[in-house]
Amino acid sequence: MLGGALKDPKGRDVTDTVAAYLAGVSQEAGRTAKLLGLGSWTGLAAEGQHGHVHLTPPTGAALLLVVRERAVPMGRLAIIAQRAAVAARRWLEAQG
Amino acid sequence: MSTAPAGYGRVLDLVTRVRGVRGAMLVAGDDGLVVAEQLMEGIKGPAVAALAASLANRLHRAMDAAGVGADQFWHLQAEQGALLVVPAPSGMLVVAVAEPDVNVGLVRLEPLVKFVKEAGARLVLLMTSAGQVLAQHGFSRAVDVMSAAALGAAIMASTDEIARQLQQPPFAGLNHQGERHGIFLAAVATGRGKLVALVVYDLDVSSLGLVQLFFEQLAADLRAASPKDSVPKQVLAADFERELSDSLNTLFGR
Repeated sequence: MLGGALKDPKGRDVTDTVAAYLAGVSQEAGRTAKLLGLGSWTGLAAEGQHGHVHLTPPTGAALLLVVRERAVPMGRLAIIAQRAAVAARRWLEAQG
Repeated sequence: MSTAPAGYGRVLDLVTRVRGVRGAMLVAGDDGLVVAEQLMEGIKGPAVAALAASLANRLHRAMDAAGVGADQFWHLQAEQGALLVVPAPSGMLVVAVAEPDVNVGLVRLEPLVKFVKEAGARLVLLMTSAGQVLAQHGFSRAVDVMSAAALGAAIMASTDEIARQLQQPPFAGLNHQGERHGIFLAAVATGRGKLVALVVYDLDVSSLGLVQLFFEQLAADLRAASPKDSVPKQVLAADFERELSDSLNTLFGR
């Protein structure tokens, strides 16, 4: 975990648990895109029953997750994720 | 483009008709095997199925941990293409491989949502009133199909006779509800005579209302597809012998 936090709808901190699962998702997304000849993956958006998630690799080694409630449209979430990825990239560069 | 079994063809047709879609397939979510596919040349169906199912399982666990509930649709965007997936209640995945600039809204809204509604049915069998099978979905062994067709036709014949003795029109449909599964049996009048549909559904992912909705659509499609002015072909002794022989071979593996 490099930064940020995530709480589930009951208010419990699930940051580390979700981060652990996301490592597997990221690996599988990269493998899928590569083996299917789709190039590098640039994003993974998913609609859930209670919320939407958007996953982006701002750099080769990092992963950015944005989670919002269902009321936020997927397209808007993608724009938020893009902006967050730019900010994350700057932040990571500043960390050296 | 490779072809899909007839029962799934229409669903996959709707997906592949969208501009930018290079292929669509139905995948068993548990084991990542292809159930049906309509893919352009060059797309490896088994690889798409296995990778999509694996990614779906991992994503499902992550979303569950994040508390956003089960995934209803996901979209993997890559530089040279995209993978679009809708998990159906039956455990199957509808997977589309698309160009990078595909209209995601079109792909998901039209056909996929329709399929998800219909996929509540686990087993479907379409037969003549005499029990001759015309089409099936979900049965894994030929002998199951034969038994279900014979039993379904017999139930329909029995209830028709009860209705006749009660001096009322035949029953529109029958529903048997168990603890986990429901069985829906109903007839469709077509230009080629009466057909019988047997539908088995899981109560935790479907309902009688959903099955009836699905059935009304199926009945309308069957009526529309049935020839209206043609003369029914006479059943020849040779056909009867051949069909009987085929049935026995299927049943006893001769």
